Amino acid sequence: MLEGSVTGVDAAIRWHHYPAAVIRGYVVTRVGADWRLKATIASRNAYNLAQRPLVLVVPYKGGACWYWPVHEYTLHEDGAKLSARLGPPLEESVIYGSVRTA
Amino acid sequence: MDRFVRPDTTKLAISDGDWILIRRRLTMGEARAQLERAYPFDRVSEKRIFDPLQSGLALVLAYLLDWSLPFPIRDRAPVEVQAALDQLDKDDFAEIRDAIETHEKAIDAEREEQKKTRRTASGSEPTSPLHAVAAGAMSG
Repeated sequence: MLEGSVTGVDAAIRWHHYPAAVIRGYVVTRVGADWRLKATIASRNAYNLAQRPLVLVVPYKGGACWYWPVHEYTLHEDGAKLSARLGPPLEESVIYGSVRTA
Repeated sequence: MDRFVRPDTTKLAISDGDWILIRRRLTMGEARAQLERAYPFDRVSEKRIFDPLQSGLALVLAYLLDWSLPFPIRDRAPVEVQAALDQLDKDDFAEIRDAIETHEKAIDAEREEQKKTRRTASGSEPTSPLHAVAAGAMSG
């Protein structure tokens, strides 16, 4: 179970498998039951970023990823920065269904 | 017929009980990225030239999302997926490429059928009142 905060460089916001935003530098912080994201955006796709549901994808060791649902987000500094309210981290199977075990 | 590509996926069985998960259709952006990879820019001629060594890889990278092989590629960067593909036995890579080619041909055929249906359905009605004006049907 994740606690506290997670800091890193490479991450992404996706709408299903489509890239909505490429992140270069992020902090995910737990605030009570919620999680908050502050990120620097390397590139974004306005169409995909307008779709729902959005998921924050954070790779970590061994090729696995952490996933958070993005409940709402705000762009700052002409889209160079993004802050978001996240839900609790999700299992990969919740994001992608049972495709890996089917 | 959807003009925007939906995020649909297709799971294809390959040999030995393995599977690959691929995009059902490519978006324009994904198709362009595939073409850019298959037709790299040649600095001498200053043109994009088809590279047969890259075309199969470009196709697989464009479509492939996940697989059952024991190296995770889901949500990995294309360069990491390519690194995994480059480590496959060449016959296993060819099997994946052929499965995707077969899928792409089936989807193309399906789209062509949908286009024919759409042309037939929209061929009888004028879409603008200007057509009626041009034909002399003015009022007042």
